[in-house]
Parts: sequence; C-alpha cells; structure tokens
Amino acid sequence: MSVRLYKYDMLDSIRYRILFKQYKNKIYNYALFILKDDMDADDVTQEVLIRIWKNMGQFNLNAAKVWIMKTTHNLCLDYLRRRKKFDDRKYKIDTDKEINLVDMTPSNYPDYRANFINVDEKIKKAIEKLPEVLNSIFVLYEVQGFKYKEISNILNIPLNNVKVYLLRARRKLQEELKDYEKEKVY
Amino acid sequence: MRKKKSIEVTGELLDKIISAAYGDAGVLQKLKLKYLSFKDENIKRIYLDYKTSAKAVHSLKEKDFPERSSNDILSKIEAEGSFNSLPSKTFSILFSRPIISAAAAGIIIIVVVSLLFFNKQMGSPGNETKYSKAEIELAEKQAKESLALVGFAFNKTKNILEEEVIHERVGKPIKKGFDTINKLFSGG
Repeated sequence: MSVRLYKYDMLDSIRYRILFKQYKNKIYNYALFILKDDMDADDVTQEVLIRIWKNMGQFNLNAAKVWIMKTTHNLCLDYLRRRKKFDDRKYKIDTDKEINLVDMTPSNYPDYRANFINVDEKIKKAIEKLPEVLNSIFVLYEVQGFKYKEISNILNIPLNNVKVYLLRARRKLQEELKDYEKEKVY
Repeated sequence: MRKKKSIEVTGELLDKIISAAYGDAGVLQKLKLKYLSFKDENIKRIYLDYKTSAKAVHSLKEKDFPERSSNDILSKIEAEGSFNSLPSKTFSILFSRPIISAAAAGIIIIVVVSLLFFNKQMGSPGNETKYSKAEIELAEKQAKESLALVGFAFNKTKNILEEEVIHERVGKPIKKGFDTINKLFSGG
C-alpha cells in the first residue's frame, strides 16, 4: 500500500522514522569514539541521517544496518583526514607484528593524568587511545554489539582479520588500563 | 616442600582466557579455564583482570544524540512534504513495535466486526432501514478499505516478526543453545 502524493511516499517516511530512532544514538556514539569531539560527531551524525533519508528507496530495513555504519565510518575517516591528524598518527597493520602507534593526545582533551570522573570515563579514554582500526572494531563489537560478519562488511576487512584485531584490541585495552592505574599511583 | 609447577601462559592460552573473560568462549572452554584457574593463581588473576575490564566495557552507557540536533534534521527533511503528515507519524508509531501493530490490528478488527454486526442487527426483520444504492456502495467501499488496512498491518507485523524479531532474537539464540548441547553430548 503506497500513497504517492509527494516525492517520497508515506512508507519511506515510516521506514525513515524507524531507522532514525533505532540508529541515531549508535551513529553518534560511534562517531564520538572515532573523532573524540562532540561537535564533529554531531556533524557526522546529521550528515549520515540526511543521507539515509536521501537513499530511502535503495535498501530494506535488514540491510540498512551495515550501510548506515559503513557510511558513518567513512564519514569519520573523511573528518579525520580533514583534520590532518592522520599525518600525526603513524600506524602499521601487519599480521606478524604488533601494531605500532605514535600516540597523540587530542588537543581538546585534558591531561590524561587528571583524575577521572568515573569508571565510564576511564574506559572510554582507554578505548579512544587504541589505534584506529582496533578502536573501530572494538567499539562495533563490544560496545555496539555488531557481529564479526557485519564488522567485516562495514570496515571492508576480511573476517579472520576482524577476530585477530579484536583480540589485539582487548589486549591493548588491558595495557592502557594498567597504564592509567600506574599514572594514578604516581 | 615440593613447589607447585605454574602453567605457562602462552599466546594461545592468553587468547582463550581473554575470549572467556569477554564472553565469547564456548561452554567447554569456560569449564577448562575454570579448572586451570583453580590450579594456577596466575591464570586466575589474569582471567579476573580481563573479566573486570570486559564488565566495565559492556556496561558503558550510550550518550544520547542531542535533541536539538535531532529536531534540526527532522525540520530539514520535513520540507519534503509527506514526512511530517499525521498519517506518517501514526504509521511510524504503529510499526516501530510489533506489539503496538498487533494491538492496533486487533482494535481495527473489533471495530469492523462490531460495525458489521451492528449493521446486520439493523437489517433484521422488523427493524429494516432502507438505504440508497449510493449509501450501500459507500459502506462497502469503507469496509473494503478497513479490511485492506488490517491486512496491511498484519503483513507488516508478520514481516517484522519474521525478519527481525524471530530470526534475530529468538531463532539464533535457540540454534546456538542446540549447538552447545550437541557439542556436549558428542564430547567435542
């Protein structure tokens, strides 16, 4: 049943509202973890939500999940490139070696030696310090509940690599948390 | 006194500990690790450290997308025309939850059946009312539209139940449970 009175029919509006409610917070939180900036995350979220509306006729509700997160991820990368922080962050993905990171504290965050407000803040900061790919995979799997196959499609990474990187992310996070404990003591 | 030999934590074992701590491991693997934790304090400590971190990660609260920004987008899209119509808003509320769709469909059915029943009573001997041909045609058209609406609501609910609720939230966990039981029985 479709009532074509306007450019977008009523069913598109209905489906959009459902997607809007379901995904706005997921998109926003993912962008926050990657971009580490409220305003940029807000911009990315708005852009993604508008793109969803413009593409309403092109996917069904089941396929929407991967498309939406893929678009979000790609937009976040665009923002990062624009900020030119990619030049400051050197990392190499190599299946035989550990991932090396020259970590740069984001300019809009205070010194990490400061006392954290609560455990949530501590965990978030530690996740944000992970290298970009590990960060993305970790957030999508552990925080947002996506499956391996979905993450593989979103990030365009082979399925086995997703599992390996996830394990590395978990190990790296544990190291980050130990470092925070040490900093608090000293 | 004989020193208790500690178990070497290889990379592979550490990965298994981490998987178990984060809730990815199978039942057998968890049991094996529990046994190893009991035997070796170091393994127990590593497992508990990771488990604490995993618990903290899984309890992270999602930040809400600002209301002001949501409204900005909706007002931009509203310009398209059909977006903010009452039928669109009503339908989106109806179809965002299967239970609401089912309840709405139930109410529509009750109303339609009541109307038909009431019409039948009015038409019974001794209580006949004469209707014009136009009135009868209008009533038939309205009944057909109501039934079409009910049919649409049912189909939509069925699709949502089949594709999203039953498949994702019910079928997969049940299948996973059966797989675990099969593994236990086959000893694998």
